[in-house]
Amino acid sequence: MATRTTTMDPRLLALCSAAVGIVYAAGYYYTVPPVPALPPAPAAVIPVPQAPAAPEAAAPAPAARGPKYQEGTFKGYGHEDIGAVEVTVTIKNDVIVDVQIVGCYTRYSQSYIDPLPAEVLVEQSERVATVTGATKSTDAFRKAIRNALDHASL
Amino acid sequence: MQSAQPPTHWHRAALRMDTVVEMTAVTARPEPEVAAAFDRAFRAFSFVEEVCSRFRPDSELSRLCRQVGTPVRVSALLFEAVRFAREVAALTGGAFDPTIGARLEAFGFNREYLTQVERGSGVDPDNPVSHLDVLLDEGERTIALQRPMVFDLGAVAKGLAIDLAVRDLSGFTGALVNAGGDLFAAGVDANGEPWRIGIRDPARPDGWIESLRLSDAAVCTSGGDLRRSPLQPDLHHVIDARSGLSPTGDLSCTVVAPYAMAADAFATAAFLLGREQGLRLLDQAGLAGAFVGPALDLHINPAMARYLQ
Repeated sequence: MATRTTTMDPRLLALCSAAVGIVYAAGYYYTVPPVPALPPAPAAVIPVPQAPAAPEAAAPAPAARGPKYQEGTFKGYGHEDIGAVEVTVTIKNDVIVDVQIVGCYTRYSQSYIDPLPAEVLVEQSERVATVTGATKSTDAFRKAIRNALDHASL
Repeated sequence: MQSAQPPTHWHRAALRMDTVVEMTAVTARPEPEVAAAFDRAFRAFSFVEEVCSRFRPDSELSRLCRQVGTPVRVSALLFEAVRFAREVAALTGGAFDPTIGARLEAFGFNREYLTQVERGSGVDPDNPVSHLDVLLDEGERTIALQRPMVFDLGAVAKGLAIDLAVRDLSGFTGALVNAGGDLFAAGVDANGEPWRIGIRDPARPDGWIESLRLSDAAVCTSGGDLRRSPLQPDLHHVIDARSGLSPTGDLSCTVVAPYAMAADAFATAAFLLGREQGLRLLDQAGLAGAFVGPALDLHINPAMARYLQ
């Protein structure tokens, strides 16, 4: 990149080059700064009389975080007034690894929702962005994915 | 060790930063390597959005805007994006001003366009604020905002994400990173030729006016899209901070530059200034520019002439 010929003002070019280089070198993550320490509590506190503590039932130990989904391929079905969408969702190691539209019985072309399976893989849920101009088709698709994931849920 | 295979054309697309991002790689390298490079390149967009989005209350930018009057140490990404935006503001005498985010919110640009999730900052849009209220300390890498504001990185962040993604694809013979029409064309296409890029015709969704032959260059366009204020129809999301108005007359401005960050910001800045002052700004910056006029007439500066066939 540094060797390409350009008419760009050298100072601006250097600014861009340095900026992109620095950011790239820093990597695609950043640390959130720690919450600042709270100021110390005021010294004079009127003690509140304590009632004797009632014995509490022992809180149940939190369940270990287990898998959300069963393994396998699950069908889902969703509909809106413009029609219905049928999908399959494949789960492997608790991850959505494949999504297919196996049926599109809507008034509008399936091509509107064709990009959405790839989005489900990224989002790992049915919460994909609405396709502009295809709100109901997207809603039917989302419902179908949700339906499939409900079937897959443990 | 050169592979004897002819290069293959690889493609991946996903929604990032409120637009469809499409990437193409031309390479003979094996599939797992291409997939890993695409993974990193798309991660660049996710990261830039996490840091720079004014629509997310938990982004580093939004958190910065909630700390007024104190220097805040920030990531390299946020620092460089803010620094560049401020630089362009200074070059345009404040016509381009990233500190007007609260006014954009007031005009209804408070939703991510594709997901329609609404966010409001609570900052009063009538409070006077400008790029001069942003203080940067390069040694400490801190930013101090002197007044409450919503900093809008819309004209810089996408370009910077494109530049980062291109780095992740730099091992390939050719690559194209296209974020909703703003793009970088690296190397050559599958035929070994510079990439052929069309300047979009604002009047036709799939039409183009002129085509450019490019290798290792960014092309970004401002204007020419349909994001109009739901509250004031004559306003779109490119607003001159001095007048409070959107530019009228020309339909769009396209800039070609060695970095997408520059092409993105300067296309917006030039479009704001209007054709005469805009082309002059681009001449000063040494960047190629083309304005599409209302009759789809093209007005270019000398630097752009060499890109046209």
